[in-house]
Amino acid sequence: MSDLTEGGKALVQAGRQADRPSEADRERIRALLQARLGDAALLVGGGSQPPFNASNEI
Amino acid sequence: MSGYDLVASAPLSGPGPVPSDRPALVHFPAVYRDYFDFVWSCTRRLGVSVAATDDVVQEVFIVIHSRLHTLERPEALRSWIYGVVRRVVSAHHRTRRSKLEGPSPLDLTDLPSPHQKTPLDLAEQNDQVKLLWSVLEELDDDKREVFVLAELEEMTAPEISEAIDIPINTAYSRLRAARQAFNEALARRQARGDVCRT
Repeated sequence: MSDLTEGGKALVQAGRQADRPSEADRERIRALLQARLGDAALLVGGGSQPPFNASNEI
Repeated sequence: MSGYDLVASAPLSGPGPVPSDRPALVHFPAVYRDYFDFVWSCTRRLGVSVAATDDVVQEVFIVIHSRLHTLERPEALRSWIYGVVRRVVSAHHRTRRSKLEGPSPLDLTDLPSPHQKTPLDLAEQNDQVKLLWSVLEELDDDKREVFVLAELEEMTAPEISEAIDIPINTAYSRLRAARQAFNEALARRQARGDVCRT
């Protein structure tokens, strides 16, 4: 952002810090997706993919 | 380590070519893990309200899940995901507008709440974020979009070009014009005394 003024850079920096989800947001959406897609979709190897390793669960 | 393990454990964030000896597979759980924050922030920055964010983000990942097999260039995954976000958000706004003559998509009264901050931090940050979005509102939609992608999402011009389907030279020139318009809009506010010069 070399073309921005110093004031503009400060605003952009503040903007980058906003709009970020929390871990609770991530888990809440994960639960909603599990309900719609099924548990397997959120595990590596779900569906037609190769068998999953439990450590790869998101 | 099998090829499958390699794909499953490889971080997906950031652009870059996929080596030809690596399977060009992208798995949904890894996409969720690596791109949840990106999808969430893009959704909010495209004007989706706090109340609707869960539904829209969920819908984005439903589409990603159903369409991931059509991804032709894994190295362009972030741009592809942004394209999905853009279409889902656009549909959301159309539906919302058809239901009610609502406020602008950039509703400044509905700013997100940053996490893990003190009340003073929040107040100062919210003031700055409100100012940022009020300045961005002075840009036309095309300029605002490339500005947000470049400056807030830190996407490269080639990624932006791919994400919103414009020629790369247009991405560069639009971004240059957007930064200039942003600087001018901010300077006008500073001249009026709306904001302290920094």
